[in-house]
Amino acid sequence: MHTDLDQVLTPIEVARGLPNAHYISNDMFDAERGPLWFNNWAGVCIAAEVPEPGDAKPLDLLGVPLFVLRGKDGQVRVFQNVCRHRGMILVSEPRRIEGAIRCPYHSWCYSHDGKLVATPHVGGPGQNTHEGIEKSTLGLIEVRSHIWMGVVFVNLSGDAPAFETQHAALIARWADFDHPLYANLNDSSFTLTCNTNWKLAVENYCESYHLPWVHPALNTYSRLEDHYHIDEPGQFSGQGTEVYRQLTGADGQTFPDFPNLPAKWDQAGEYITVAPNVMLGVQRDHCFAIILDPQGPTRTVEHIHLFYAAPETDPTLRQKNAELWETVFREDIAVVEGMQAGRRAPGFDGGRFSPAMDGPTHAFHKWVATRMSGAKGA
Amino acid sequence: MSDALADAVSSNDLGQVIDIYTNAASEKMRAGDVDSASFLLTQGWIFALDADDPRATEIHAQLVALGRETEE
Repeated sequence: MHTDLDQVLTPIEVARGLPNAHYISNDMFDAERGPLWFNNWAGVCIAAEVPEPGDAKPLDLLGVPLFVLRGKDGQVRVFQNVCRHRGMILVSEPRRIEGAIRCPYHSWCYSHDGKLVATPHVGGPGQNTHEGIEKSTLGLIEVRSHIWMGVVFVNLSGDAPAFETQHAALIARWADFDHPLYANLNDSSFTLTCNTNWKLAVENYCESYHLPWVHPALNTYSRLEDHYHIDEPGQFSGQGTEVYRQLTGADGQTFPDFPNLPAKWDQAGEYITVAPNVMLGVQRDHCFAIILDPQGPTRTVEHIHLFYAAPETDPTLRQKNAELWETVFREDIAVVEGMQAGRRAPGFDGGRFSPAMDGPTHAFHKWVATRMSGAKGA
Repeated sequence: MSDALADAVSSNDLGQVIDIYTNAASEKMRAGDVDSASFLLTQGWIFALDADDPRATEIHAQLVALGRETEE
């Protein structure tokens, strides 16, 4: 499917946004899989979802079955979730794998680092070898993965620049937060489902323009004019605030800060998308990650995880913080779903950007348009 | 064997499953039925691998000695 992307790849003053097909078309959704997702580093889960050796969880990245496993050596690995024998799914639900990864069909077994270790009866009953089956060539298909800010990223194509290279500028920008992050899946993780294309969730996240209208309570202490744009062409975009206010409990308690933060973070917060699908936020006392999980062109699940600077924090305050963020993120659902519905209007031409306020949104559109038009260099 | 095996499998008692297979394999070996013993040892070995049961190493060595598995 061809659409006019030149209208996107022009200066913001004259640019228009991505055409409707990029939000409503099944063909376009499928076409995005390679250039936007598999060829880049996409988030699939957080490392805290497999906290102990042997913990495994099945994943789905745009229909590709994967599973994440924390091996006996403590290392988190991601594999294609398929036996090399008959293509059976290996891990169908989150579970602890104490020993080998055993296929439920014919019991071919794999070690935690993916090696094929047993092929029972492959040479006939009771004969476990066959000259045609070389175990060393039939290990699990490992997917390139990298953990940053608590998130497990994968590069399915295997040929993207190393994560540290591709995202060097962002890693440097947030080096102050290079500390252990502590999640709590019981009270600091939640999921929202939106009837919208995943890109609209990113676009809404990148800009502060909507804050006074969509988040009026937030705007009472974090005003529009206290925000700034973050726009690194071809790399990342988002927004920042200069008036982050710590949450306080009934007795004035706060969350502990991340250690050794420079003073600039006393009242700052930044909110950036690692394209395609990980929306991150950092503040002095907690971070968060929103991992977008598209279910089709018009439906997106948001997996939201809050992280703290210490393993033990006030549970009441954690609960309050989770509720606060859930309120904010729920306020966004109406607008991302409204924009999605608007993409059915045949006269909508992609829309115009505010040159003053929509720079980060336009930057994301250009990131998409550049890759979808085949010019990977951004 | 079949009832006991079914019970052990249904209760996911892999230790018992391994016991049943290895004991049955021993009986077959004593009877000189190496093929059946190898089949049963293989079953026990796989469940030992699954359960991370230390008997996996010993069973594997038996299978190697019988020419039914390789050293690796």
